[in-house]
Amino acid sequence: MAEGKGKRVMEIAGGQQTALSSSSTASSWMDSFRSLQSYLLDLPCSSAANYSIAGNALHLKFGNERFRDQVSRAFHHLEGAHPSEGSLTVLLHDLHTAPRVEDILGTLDLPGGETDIWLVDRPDLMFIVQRQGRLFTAVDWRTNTACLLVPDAASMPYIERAAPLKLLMSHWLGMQARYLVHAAAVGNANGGVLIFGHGGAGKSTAALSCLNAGLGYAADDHCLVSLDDSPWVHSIYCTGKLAVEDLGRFPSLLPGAELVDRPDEEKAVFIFDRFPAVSVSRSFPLRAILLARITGGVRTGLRRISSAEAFRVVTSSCAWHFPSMRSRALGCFNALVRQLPAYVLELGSDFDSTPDAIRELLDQTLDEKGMGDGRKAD
Amino acid sequence: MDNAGTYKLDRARIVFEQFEDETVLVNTETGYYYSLSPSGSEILRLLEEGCPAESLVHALFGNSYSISHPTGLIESFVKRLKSEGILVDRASDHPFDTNGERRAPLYADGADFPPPALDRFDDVRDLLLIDPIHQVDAEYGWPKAKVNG
Repeated sequence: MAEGKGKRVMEIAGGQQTALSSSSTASSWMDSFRSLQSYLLDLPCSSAANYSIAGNALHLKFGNERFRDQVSRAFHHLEGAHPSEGSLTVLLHDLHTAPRVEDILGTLDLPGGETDIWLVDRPDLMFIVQRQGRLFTAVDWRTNTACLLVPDAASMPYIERAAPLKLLMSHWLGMQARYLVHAAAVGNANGGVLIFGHGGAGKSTAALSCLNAGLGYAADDHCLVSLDDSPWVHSIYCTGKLAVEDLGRFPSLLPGAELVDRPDEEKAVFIFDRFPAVSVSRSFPLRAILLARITGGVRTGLRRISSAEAFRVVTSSCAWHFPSMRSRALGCFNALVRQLPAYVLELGSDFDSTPDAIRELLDQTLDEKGMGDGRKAD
Repeated sequence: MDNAGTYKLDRARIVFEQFEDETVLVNTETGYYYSLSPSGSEILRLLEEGCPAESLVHALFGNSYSISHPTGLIESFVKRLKSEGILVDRASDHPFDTNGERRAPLYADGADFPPPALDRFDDVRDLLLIDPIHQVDAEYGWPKAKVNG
């Protein structure tokens, strides 16, 4: 394979080839990583935490407490699982706790922008490099052990705190047939809805308006869907995001808004581990799919749309999956839209009417399905 | 027709779904989402069955073929499906049985034939470009090493 060696990278998103040079093959680079892997496994950790995400055990081992503060809070509502067969263990280290990590972080000089993602996706090993090399994730699928390496845990990128380990979670949970979707999720004991929508469509506003209106909250931006026997949604992060100009609409959230280190273009982040009044639901059965759309009206209403239109909306979430996972994710999304009714959530200026509209829809779908299907929220 | 070849969906990249009122295609690599008109969906179905591109007019219109049939439109549509990466060449050892039992031509006997259409949507592609994924070929290596000093 000498021909063309050292200049091969496929740009998936743009559908074009980008040639890059490399001074070493990935296989030799992987050998280097494997030697570092044993070093990382032998390092002490300051603490650990266990979580259950959509029924899958995640075990985090923190190199230091700065890491714990940055990463664990978003998973706070999912604490409690015990490591078991099939669980994923993630070791989190920075240069303070693992100086030899410099061997990896110091060798990458990546072209592209701040949000470009570099991926090696093999059956045995996966590397995900983000933030121009400042966020490095490696996974050994033979042992289900991953490492998250950063230069300094205290300076984790702002947005990573709202959705830590997102790409790793998307892929690992996708392998367990739990697919990440870019949607909010709210509901009650009888079931809930997914709320899709592009940036600025009112997805977060709609979800957060349900917090104090007797509807449970599972997500405002990212959640998981599964289809084992019927459609379910599962919470992954107990966080929310809101445009700074909209903060005034939710005065009860204001004291908890995290704005430190926030780039101007980013939304304010809420991590609900420090909001005792907010109870984040772990999961509930799904009753409908909604597409948020801001209208000029006052009261929020619903308008039925076709399965094909719903599929187009849900399909946008395949961008949150690596190429090798997209067909499977789309298969799930296809089944989802065939099993659930879909509506445009026509958002009005009267925020209080949004949870009312959702609650009425849930009551209606429950009446249609009957009370006997036994699907209750967790 | 210009192209007498036979084609099939590139199922490695293309997800194909038929709903009650619409046929949709998703290119999982580029993120493009496509919506097919009913006549476009019928053409794709025939191609998937192994119908050669040059036989599409007969398969669509049957023996009622006449000079007025929109041969050019059908040719252009097949070319578009190819250029979008939806169709790939089919191996020649997969013959189309012209005598086999199959659905009657949908547009025989003067039935209205709306032009085949393929609408492309960029929603997913736009999202992919926000956080572009560069998949590195493991055999050829990682991006260049940083030069010390």
